[in-house]
Amino acid sequence: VDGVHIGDDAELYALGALEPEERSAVEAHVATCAECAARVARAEAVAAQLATALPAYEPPPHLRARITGAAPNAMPLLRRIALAAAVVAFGFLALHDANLMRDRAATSASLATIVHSHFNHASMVGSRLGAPAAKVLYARDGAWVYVIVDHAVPGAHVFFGNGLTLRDMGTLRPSSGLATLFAQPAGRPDSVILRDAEGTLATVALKY
Amino acid sequence: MALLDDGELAARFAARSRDGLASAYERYGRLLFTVARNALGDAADAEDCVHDALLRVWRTPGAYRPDRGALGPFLVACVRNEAMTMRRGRTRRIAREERVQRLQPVSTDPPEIADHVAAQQLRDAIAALPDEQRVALETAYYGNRTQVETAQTLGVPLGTVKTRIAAAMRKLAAGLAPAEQA
Repeated sequence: VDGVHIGDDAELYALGALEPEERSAVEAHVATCAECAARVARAEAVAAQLATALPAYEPPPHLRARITGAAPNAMPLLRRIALAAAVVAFGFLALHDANLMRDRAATSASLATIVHSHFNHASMVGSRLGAPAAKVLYARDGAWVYVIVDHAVPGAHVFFGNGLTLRDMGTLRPSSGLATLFAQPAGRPDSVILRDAEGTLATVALKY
Repeated sequence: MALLDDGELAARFAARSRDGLASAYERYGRLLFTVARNALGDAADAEDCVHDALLRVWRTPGAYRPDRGALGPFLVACVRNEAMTMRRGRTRRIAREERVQRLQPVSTDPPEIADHVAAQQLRDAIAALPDEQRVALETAYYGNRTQVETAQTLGVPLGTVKTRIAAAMRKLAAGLAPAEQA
């Protein structure tokens, strides 16, 4: 690092040949210097070419699920749940539509119920390709169940299972980019199933 | 999953969308794993390395900016740097493994190269470098050494190693430019 720009460290960075503190200095510098960022990008393109001449190895099949599955699913959905809650709480919804007003009142009521109780949560497990990410929040005493799906699923119904019985709880309600269903079932459901015309989309067992 | 063009893929990755992450893994996962596996010499370590590096840059806002360069090479550099960090913590163990590896016959033709024309072009370009630049580059990259370790190995000052490697990379960039668009 020559004080002003990173100089030859651009190429050494791309090769992974810098010590940790030098590497941090390069990253900090290119965040604000387009000229050095371009030099690093050129060097990275060459380093990627060098990588293609390495003996190739096949990644283990489970690595894909490990990367795209667990962590990434949970985070954006939770972020969107937080966003949806904030939107409702601060009343940013368009107020010109009467239906929207009713939805808003209903959502506020369900959020109030949720806020005043202890609850568990569980992620729904997709049953087929393209199943949406979904979570179920449910009261520890089984008094209510809140199903949150990360996008609208046209025609999908939510079913609550209880022993051998399966009850259709109706369709999801679009809510700030998510689709949700709030229900206060008579019995304590032991499973939640999301189905559309083609069959089961996702399922989860509820544990109390 | 529909096939995205590189620009769209990069934009989705930068926007930290889940399908951006999945598509990036689809497209570059094999190369990233290859980079990590070659640097670390161990499949489980390589897996951790790709996982940690990929998720860290995907999660960090602004870590990758599409206006600054292509996503694939950026990820390769991230994984390579992560692998070199992991090596630092395991230097002794890996040195032992490499002593063992050196006793094995080494194949001169790397297997499973997707584009043989590009690979040959690369080998030619490396062979055409001035000897001292070529040796410095190969010692650092294929020998998995930092610039300090490369200087020690070659018995030349650090500044000299830095200059030689950087010059070699710039020459390769000039020679390989058309292939980078692939």
